[in-house]
Amino acid sequence: MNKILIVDDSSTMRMIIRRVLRQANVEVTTILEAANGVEGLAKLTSDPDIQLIFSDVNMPEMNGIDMVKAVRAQRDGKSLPIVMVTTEGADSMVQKAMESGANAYVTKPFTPESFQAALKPLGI
Amino acid sequence: MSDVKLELPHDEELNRLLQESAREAFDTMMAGFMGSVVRSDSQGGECAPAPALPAAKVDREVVVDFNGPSNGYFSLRCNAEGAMDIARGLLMMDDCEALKVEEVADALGECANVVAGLLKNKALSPCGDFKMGIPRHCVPYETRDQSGSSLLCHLKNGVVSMEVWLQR
Repeated sequence: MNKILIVDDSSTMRMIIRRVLRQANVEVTTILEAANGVEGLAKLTSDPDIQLIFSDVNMPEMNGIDMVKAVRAQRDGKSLPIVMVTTEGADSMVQKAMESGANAYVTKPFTPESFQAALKPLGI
Repeated sequence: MSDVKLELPHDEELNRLLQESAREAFDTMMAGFMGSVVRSDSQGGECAPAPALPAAKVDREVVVDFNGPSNGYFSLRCNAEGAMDIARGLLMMDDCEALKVEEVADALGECANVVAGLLKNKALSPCGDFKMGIPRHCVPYETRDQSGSSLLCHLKNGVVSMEVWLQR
């Protein structure tokens, strides 16, 4: 995989996701980062070749659900895989995320194994 | 129309779920690093119910608010050493590696976020639709004087106190 985007307002969590991707043997050439949905959309505009997005839900400025909806509304964003990575584990939130267009859902805290299992249906 | 009483977990159950959430967060997020983070000789195990840390011993506090059928909050308070323990544990850094102030603050916020999220999923979501706020750093004990369920975690060099309070 060439380029992915991690959207989370915590730099610690962005670092943890990077580490878990390495542990899960997901090979990525470039990892871009954004601290909220607005920044995430801007990165996507400036780097249209991003192949996968990991996004938190609760973030300032623009939350992850609204960002997913905005990505899906873009012509080029309809097939881009998006994985939500969040502490929100309630069924209603999972359903809301999937209905908004997310492809997979990982609940924090996660292990490399549970992270890998969530990515498997996406062929990653 | 009859009044529907919200069946929130009682204090003892809330404390058990808080302890379970803290342990799960630490075990998962600091896996492989736990041995050096949590002191094995601490009284009552790694994290045990105890009164909240007195204000004089708290250097940092992060609060996550709960809103919904009832309002409340989760609070993580620690001394400087406890903050460094958590940051090093999450970032998997050795004692000799330097940490920036903002890295420690961010790690504490994420730790509070994860424990509060687990607690919400275990204790609150079964009772109704609760929303969780974004972690916010505040002056210890500045605005909160309620006393809720609390526990104390003895880490490698420091101590962390976690507390949950719900309006009943």
